[in-house]
Amino acid sequence: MERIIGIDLGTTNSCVAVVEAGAPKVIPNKGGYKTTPSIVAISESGRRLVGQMAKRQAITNARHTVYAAKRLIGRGWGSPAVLHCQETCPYEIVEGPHQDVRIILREKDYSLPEISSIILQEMKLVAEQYLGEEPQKAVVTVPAYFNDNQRQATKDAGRIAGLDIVRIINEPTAAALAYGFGKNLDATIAVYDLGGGTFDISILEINSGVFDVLSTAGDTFLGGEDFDARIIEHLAYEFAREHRVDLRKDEMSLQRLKDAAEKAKIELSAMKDTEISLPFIYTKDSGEALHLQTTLTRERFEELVADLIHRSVKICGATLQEAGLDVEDIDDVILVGGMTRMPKIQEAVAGFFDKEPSKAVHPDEAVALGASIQGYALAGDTQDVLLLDVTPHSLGIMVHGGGFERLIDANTTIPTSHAHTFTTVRDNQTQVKIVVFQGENDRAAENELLGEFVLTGLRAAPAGAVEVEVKFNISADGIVSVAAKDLETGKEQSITVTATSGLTEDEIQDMIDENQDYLMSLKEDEAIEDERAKLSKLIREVEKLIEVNESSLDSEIQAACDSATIAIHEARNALSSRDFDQVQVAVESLQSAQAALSEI
Amino acid sequence: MFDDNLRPIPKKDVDYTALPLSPTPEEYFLLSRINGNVTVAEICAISGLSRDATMTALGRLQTAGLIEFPAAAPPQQPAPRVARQAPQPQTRTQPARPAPQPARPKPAPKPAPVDMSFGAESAVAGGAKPATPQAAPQATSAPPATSASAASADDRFASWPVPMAQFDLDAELMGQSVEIDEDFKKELIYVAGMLGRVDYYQLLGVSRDAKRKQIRNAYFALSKRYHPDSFYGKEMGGFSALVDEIFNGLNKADQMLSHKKKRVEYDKTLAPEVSAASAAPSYSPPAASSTPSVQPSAGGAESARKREMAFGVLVKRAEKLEASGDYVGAAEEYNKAFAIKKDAAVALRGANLLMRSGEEHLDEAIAMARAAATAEPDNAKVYLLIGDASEEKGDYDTAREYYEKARGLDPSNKIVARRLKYLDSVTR
Repeated sequence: MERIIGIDLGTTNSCVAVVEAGAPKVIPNKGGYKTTPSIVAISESGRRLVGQMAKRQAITNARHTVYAAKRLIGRGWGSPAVLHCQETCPYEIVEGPHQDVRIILREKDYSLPEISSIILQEMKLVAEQYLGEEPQKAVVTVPAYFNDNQRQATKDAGRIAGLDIVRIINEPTAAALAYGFGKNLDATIAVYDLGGGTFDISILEINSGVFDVLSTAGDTFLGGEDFDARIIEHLAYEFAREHRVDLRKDEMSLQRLKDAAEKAKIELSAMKDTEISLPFIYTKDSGEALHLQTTLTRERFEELVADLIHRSVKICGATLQEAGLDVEDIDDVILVGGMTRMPKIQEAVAGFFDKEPSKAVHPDEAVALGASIQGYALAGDTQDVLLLDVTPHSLGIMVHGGGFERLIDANTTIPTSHAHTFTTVRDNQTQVKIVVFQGENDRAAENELLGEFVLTGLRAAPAGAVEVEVKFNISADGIVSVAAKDLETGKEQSITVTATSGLTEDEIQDMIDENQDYLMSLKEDEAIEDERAKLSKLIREVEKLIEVNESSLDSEIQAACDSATIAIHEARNALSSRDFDQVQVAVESLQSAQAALSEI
Repeated sequence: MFDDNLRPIPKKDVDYTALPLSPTPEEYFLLSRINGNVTVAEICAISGLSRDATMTALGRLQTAGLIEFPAAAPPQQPAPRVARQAPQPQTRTQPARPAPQPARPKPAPKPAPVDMSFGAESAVAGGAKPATPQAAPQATSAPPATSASAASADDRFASWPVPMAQFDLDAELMGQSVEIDEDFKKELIYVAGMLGRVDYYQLLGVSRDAKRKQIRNAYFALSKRYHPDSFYGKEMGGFSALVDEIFNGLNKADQMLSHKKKRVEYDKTLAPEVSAASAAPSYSPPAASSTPSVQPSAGGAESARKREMAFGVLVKRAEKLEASGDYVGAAEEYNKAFAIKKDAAVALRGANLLMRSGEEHLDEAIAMARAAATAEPDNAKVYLLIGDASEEKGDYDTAREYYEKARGLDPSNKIVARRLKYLDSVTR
């Protein structure tokens, strides 16, 4: 049976897992780490760097290193997330052809799905090295609060990476799967998931292997990066007060501040205070070098982020209410995401739910494990697991006057569909335009625009005589699709979808091709390098043989030495040419020269 | 012959390549159901074979060294009441209720692919999981039903207005070659077809006074049975749409009934329980909406039920003809349905189809619309249609008369206003 891997495509770190012999397992990367930084960079030579490699060179290559791409994926140009990034990110972003976002790296523009595809590809590779075969299918997780555009873009990323994303599941739900899999539970649980970039809370009922999400909510602007940002601001402010210099204006200083902030944050989970030491952080025009040297206490840090924690707890309350439950109905609370290691957060969650959070799942690994369990269930290897997830946002259409008419409410179990009948308003009207949104605001424009659908080719008839039934469908991935049917004739109507911030089919195809080309050239480069290494080794060996035989007076040996010397000369040329065929020819001739010399 | 209460145990570490005799596919299937927990009686009930054939097969499995029998039957387990001599293929077999199991059964030995159809529940009796993907087509067609009460199809379908045996199964669908067995095909067509005609309680197979927990349990068990994910990656043909519809229905039922306030509101819309034909309002197709004139009287419940059934069959037939483009034939069936139950919606539907079937059918369309008007005298759409048909015939005076009638009933109807305006423009 085909194996379906599970990938947690995180804001700051990604993780891949697979179920083996009925037990889910995280696959470590080459470096032995269970998580891989979600960082992509393009080196000066145009080579793609991912993960730890990309992180290590980030300080010196800040303009061409992409952090936290997940915060931008599926977002439209001009949206708050993008504006924020424009202010704080060292890399350059520009507007794409569909009001989408493109990142310029080494003078080439990349769409967000492409950036994510590079990370997915790396995770696929990690799995491949472990499994010994190339995985074709994956379950990938996204924050529960992701909207349709963000989910669609994530799916596109999979396609570009050559990975069939068979299902997108929500991160807290995945964590619940990891928590409840293999246990015979009958319980209601809350999953508090504070990751690198997003916050999610889900309430689930688990009963005889069915994981039923009762309600979910979140904030896609709340995560570990915001905690880091508070420390950066604090440090930059203190520094500016002392030296009248804004470190954030300097790319390299900002990058160093960022690293130091993240490190300090992590240390403060275990310690009461931490030293921050950044020597030579800035050089004044006068040539004077400035150093940043300070101590951050846990208490001060907690003050800096108190409002962020409070925001998450407030969302917990609303979600519980939405599920129609009280705090005492919750049997267990599980914590997911690296940020939940912060003692103040554990305290706040325990305080709100009036219960010590469970330590049963690993905060960094649970999501990937859950994804692999869902993959295992979809592969048909177990009938013990059924996931019933919900849509986090209401789906609706724009009605006359710009209002928003809800067709599918938030927290409806998916897959689901809703049929809505539209009538023509003019005589002989042949088209109806439908604008679809996702969100909770009564004004359509305040919500997330998903797309415009134009029903075309309606039959000519008096106004109101043509009734078209439009079926809005939300798949188990949380992805929206639309189908239409003329009610009188039963004829299916064609639908034209105008992509909003997503990519067109052609663009995706181009990106797939480009990615294949890159991988091919990468393989070729590797092949050339291998061949060159072989040639260098041969040159050394043959040179030694010549040295040994040079002094011989035997004319046959002399001839062999002469031709070997010529072969070496040619081999040196081939080595510098970097042409695969030339190198290969040189290897062959050198090998025969070697054979001739050793036979003597 | 083996004692009914014996629980055969599959032998471990059997070398399948070196068996003294090679078992048949049926025997391999039986073997896949044997897990040490099911009794001989239960195996007979679920095998799909006659009792004698089952016994013979068990004997052969024993001879082949694939199973063994414990020395004596545990006396604490009485013979299950479900042991049936020969399950009839047409009616659903009562599922063998699994005995309480102390532990998860170990996977059954690898069965060979079995090209046979077995009752849906039979595959899960005893809780055996299919051990290999090859067994999946049979076994996963009926995902394990964890709550016996909710998943017992017989219980669930008992209160439904049309029994499965009498349900008009779509021959085209039944003929499709898909990775689910015949019985489950029937069940899916039946359940999907009945969605509009059963209330949410009937759909979930719970009583109207069921506790929330019972409703939730039924929903979970049925979700496992019908959720699209349970058939993921399987060739489902036309059945995948049915599965979607069924799960959507279950979902709505759960949302309505497991929510306190919504449930109270919903209960108010339900007819008293005696009239089993009352439909869940939110997705009842127009043809199934009952008109007050046919509410069954206290004494005529049985004949009302029969009428309802016949009506349903005719409407279904009409819908099929309509979908195939045979509007005149469809209208005829709608007409017959209307004769059984004076439901204006079907007559109007038929009249509409006739309208679109050419000039020669206009009179019939008008006649049918008039009949609809007798059942529902204050439906503006009926008069609009008569007006429309008359206009088509060139009989503008009659057209105007009916348009005006429609306007009297529905003054805000824009279409009516436009038609009248148009008539004014051509007649003056």
